[in-house]
Amino acid sequence: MPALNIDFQSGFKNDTVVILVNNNEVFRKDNVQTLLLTDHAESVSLDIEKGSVCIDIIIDTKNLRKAINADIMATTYLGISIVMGAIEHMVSGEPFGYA
Amino acid sequence: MTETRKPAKSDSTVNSNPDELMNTAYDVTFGSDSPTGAEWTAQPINPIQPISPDWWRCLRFGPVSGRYDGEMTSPNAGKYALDLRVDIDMRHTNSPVLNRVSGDIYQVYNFNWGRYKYKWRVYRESWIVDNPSVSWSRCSVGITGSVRYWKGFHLATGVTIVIPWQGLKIGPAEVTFTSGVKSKSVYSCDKKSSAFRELTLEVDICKSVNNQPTLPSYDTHAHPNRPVDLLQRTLTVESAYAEAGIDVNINPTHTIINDSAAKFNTWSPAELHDAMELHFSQYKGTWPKWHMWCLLAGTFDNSGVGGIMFDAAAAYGGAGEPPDRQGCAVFRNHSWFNNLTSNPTNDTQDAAMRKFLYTYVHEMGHAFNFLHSWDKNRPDALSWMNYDWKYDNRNGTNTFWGNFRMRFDDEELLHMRHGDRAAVIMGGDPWASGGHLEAPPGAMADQVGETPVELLVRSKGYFQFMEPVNLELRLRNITGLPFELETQLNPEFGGVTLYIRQPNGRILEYAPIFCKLATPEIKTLKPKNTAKTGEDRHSQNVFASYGTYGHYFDTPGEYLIRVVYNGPGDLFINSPVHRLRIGQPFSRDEERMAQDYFTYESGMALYLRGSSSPFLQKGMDTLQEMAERFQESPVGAYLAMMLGVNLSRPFFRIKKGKLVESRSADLEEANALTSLALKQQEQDKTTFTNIAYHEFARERAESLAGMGAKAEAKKGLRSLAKYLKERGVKDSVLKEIDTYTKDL
Repeated sequence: MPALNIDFQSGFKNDTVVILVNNNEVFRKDNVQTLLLTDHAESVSLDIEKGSVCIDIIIDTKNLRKAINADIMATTYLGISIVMGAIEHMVSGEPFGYA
Repeated sequence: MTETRKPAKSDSTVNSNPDELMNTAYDVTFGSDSPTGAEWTAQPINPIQPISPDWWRCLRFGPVSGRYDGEMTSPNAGKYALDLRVDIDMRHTNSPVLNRVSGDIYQVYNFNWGRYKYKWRVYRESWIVDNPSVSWSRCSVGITGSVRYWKGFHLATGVTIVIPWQGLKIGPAEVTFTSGVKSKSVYSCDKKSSAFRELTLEVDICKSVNNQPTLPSYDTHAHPNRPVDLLQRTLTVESAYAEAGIDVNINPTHTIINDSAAKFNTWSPAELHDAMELHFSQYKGTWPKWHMWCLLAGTFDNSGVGGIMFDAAAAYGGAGEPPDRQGCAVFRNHSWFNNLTSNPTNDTQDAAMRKFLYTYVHEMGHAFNFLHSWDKNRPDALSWMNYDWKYDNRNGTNTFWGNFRMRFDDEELLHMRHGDRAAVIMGGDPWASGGHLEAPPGAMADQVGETPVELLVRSKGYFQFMEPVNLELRLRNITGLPFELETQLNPEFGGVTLYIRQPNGRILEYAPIFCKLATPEIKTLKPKNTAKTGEDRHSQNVFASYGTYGHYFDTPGEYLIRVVYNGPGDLFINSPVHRLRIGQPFSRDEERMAQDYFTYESGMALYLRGSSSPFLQKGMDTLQEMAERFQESPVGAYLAMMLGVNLSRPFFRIKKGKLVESRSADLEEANALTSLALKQQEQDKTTFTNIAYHEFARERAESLAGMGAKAEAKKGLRSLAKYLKERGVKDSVLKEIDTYTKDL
């Protein structure tokens, strides 16, 4: 099974984040906080069946939700940020690096 | 044979830039059929202009721009020094001219102690001229402009700088400041460098990653994804910063740190800071200073991190041990560097070397107080401080490296070259606080050079909302000779000044309610090498919550404290910045109570450590209520202790022209209150610092003894000694308490 690596990046301030994959809650964490030094808040790695998946990112504390549909055929990296009050995402085949 | 020569054209007019003269290129063709090569014809690329007959007198090798340093020549010769930075002509093809002049002013101190002579400079302030007017003459350049100081109030000030040159000799720069109608001060500054600042970098290496390369060296044309017209050169940490205007000297000695402990896998910020304290040869001594430490390490706790400037507040992901910005780390085991090799032969290896260079330069950039580009609202900046993948996400795949010219952006260069010194220098302002030109200045004085005495500020670090703030000031003799010092450190006596930077960036000078005139309390501090524990130092607790201008710590957030000590003679010492935090109110109840607490009456009652004056009754009532309501917290414990001590002594006031006892001591109530405080202290050892607790207990004992309750006083002192012993307080203090108790 390929891995879906999700990084929570910019804009998190003591937030509660939830990840649903195909409507199943697979991750929940409180007090997610972006560290200004690296622009990274939290990482989670999920094993996903190959194929199309619907990933829901929910940020309870900010009443934000975003559904991301993706075809996961190989290890995938998903970056999630909160920019101007909205969830933004980026997909990459390479891990995100922080410095 | 073709040779490119420096230009020559008429410079007889004032206001013509000699760089234009110097930079006009000529193709010079030597006659191929001339055996001597003496015949040649010049073919100018630009239109030829008449050559001034005396142009050679103005020949100049190198830019005028750079760093100059010198002392005041008038009106007080040698009393002040100026570090001048002139940025008006090209220093490097990949480094823009920012058209700025800036400087740092220092006061120069001389102190003679026997045959020992100490000389040091104390930094005073920084200034900048934003758009100077520049007039080029034949053999000199004149620069004028309005001075903008980064902090404090100043009369409108102008500056005129004249820099002459002749061949290799550029300068000295004569710098004249004019403020008011007739006030002038003149400095003469020699040119020191074509860079604007100078930094020493110490790179230590973990044994597990001690493989070449340990430092980057990248040919800018090695990787094909680059700007097509990118200037080819080999970039290293030194040359990348040289282009930016910073001379980086890397210490050739690299300590190899053994990181082979069995259970050790990854580095945390705290471990990195600890390693810096152990291995950074410059860590001890006075900060801030132009020194930086970098560790080439294995893997960070978060394996996605390729490098980190770990020396920042914990809330930002740093070690949380001020002063900030002294050190960084690069993680060699990060996937970025999987293909790193000293001699790259393919694109993958070139990309790894490029990333290696990027990571070093980027982390060092953080130590200059840079945030990431997007955190400065410049997400599309082509800068060392951006992330390639973040840029690409906004602008298209591979666009960052395709457009990046291997440099900092102009705003960053401005900060690095000309920013307020405290905001730039390592160990100065905390990272991300007031560190950029667009933010309020956050500097306070600091010193350059070693002083004979060290002054430190310490505190609990974290205070609850409304908890009175007490600071421990400590003087320590760091010479090899005994040193006599005035040891009254309370600002009321005028020898010490406290500066407080509030969370909103405003800097206040703490002004005590009372000004006291007293006989100096001279104490001899023994030499550091021969002193028994503690004999080389003197500490004192200083209350700083309330003063002439009200409550100084009335807002939650981070405060920066700096203390300046004026000792006997010309001794002037300042402390490093101390950072403390005031917490948020825990409840609505606390917020409501703040309305009564942050008042004149409560502030004065606190300052006086309790009062039974009817004028302060309202304040005392508030403090009493808080002591009861918040008794299970440091706020309540402090107030209970203070009120208890107050009640242990009688209160006298003048009635009908006669001093009468208006309130007698209430030992029972005093004991009840101090017991409450001690109970809280037992539960939370951070409630009182040792020195604060000692002071309270001593004060209470004195009051009791004064009233004849010596047995009670001695019991309290013995309890104090027992408590301090448990806390590891040094024997000399315990012995002094014991002697005092016996003599009571």
